[in-house]
Amino acid sequence: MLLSRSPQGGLQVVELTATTVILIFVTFFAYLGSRRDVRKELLFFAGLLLGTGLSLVDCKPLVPIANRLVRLLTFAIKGGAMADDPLPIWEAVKKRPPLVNPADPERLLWFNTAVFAALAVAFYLLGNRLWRGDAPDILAMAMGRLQGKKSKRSLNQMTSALLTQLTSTVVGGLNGFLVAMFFIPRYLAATQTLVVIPGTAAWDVLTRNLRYAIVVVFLVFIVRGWQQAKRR
Amino acid sequence: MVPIEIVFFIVIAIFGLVGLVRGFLRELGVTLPLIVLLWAYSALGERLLRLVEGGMAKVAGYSLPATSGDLIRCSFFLVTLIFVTFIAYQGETLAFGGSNPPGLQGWLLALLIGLVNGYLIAGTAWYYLAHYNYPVQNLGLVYLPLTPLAQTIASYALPPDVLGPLLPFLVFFLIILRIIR
Repeated sequence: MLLSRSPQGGLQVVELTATTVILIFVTFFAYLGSRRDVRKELLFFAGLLLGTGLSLVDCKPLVPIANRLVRLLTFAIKGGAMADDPLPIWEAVKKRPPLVNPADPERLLWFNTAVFAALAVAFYLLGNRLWRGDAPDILAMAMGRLQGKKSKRSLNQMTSALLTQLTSTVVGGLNGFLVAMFFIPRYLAATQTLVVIPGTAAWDVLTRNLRYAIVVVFLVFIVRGWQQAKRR
Repeated sequence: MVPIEIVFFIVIAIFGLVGLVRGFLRELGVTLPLIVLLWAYSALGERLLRLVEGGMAKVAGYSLPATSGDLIRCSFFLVTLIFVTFIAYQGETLAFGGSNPPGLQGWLLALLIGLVNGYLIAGTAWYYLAHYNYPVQNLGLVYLPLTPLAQTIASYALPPDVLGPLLPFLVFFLIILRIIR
């Protein structure tokens, strides 16, 4: 991380290395993950994975659908659905520029971000709705064990809870990696922002670490299955 | 002639189905020896071959012919891979004990681990074929040049490339899981 004074004036220029920014994302989401149930985090991960997959093709399969939907909504708002002669209204709606023009990179980026954010929020909230409980509180369990009986069962519960919380922390970190993978090359790699990261460096760091992220995903699933199998 | 990447994906899919039938814990018992084998290959494989070749040259005065040398070296890796795969699937000793995760989750996990095993087996075979410049093309099993997709997979996505520096940790991790079970 570098802090330097701009030669043009008194403005402080903060220059962060790509690794630092990715680590900030990963740490923040890992912390969030440690506070949530592992199932919620896995669902959130699925949503982010879907968003990342769509962003790889710039959400182009969704562009015509979004444009048609907006056109239909505009038609309905303009009173086309209730009008005796809807044709003039439809013609007027058709003449309006589409919501997302695939040839316009700025609009496409905006649409891409909206889809990614919508998927992330939807899956995050869906997880909260499906599973009400939070991650087990390891500290409280440890305190209870110190104060109360030291039975073998409580030790087993604590080990299992610790493993679950570790897994949700790791999945949270992976979620942070996916969010970083989306946002850093698109937004923070620009040349005129206050926080400056060389774009190619960011992309290099992300792709270099992608294989580790994939391996960690598989390890998370292995641990999850292993834990589930052990419980029976 | 079917492109090599299609064969690769078909093999992975078949192993995925096998995983689905066998269950998560048995498949995890296959992953462990495959990862250990990959580690052994990366740490010892080439060295062992050089040692054997050097020994043969010194003792018997025989060195591998230039034409079929790569085919023999590649066969060493492929045969040991098939041998270890056979042992891993045939034996029960390495399978993780207990009962499989219940319900749909168990099925999906079994499928996932099956696919991973398929990737490890098919990917390792492809890696050593590529490493020795496809010696089986003389037998008419592979036709070059590869498609762009196959070239990308062969360059970046095969197990020894992807897992290279992580192999010792993976071996350690899986052994720990096996022990504390």
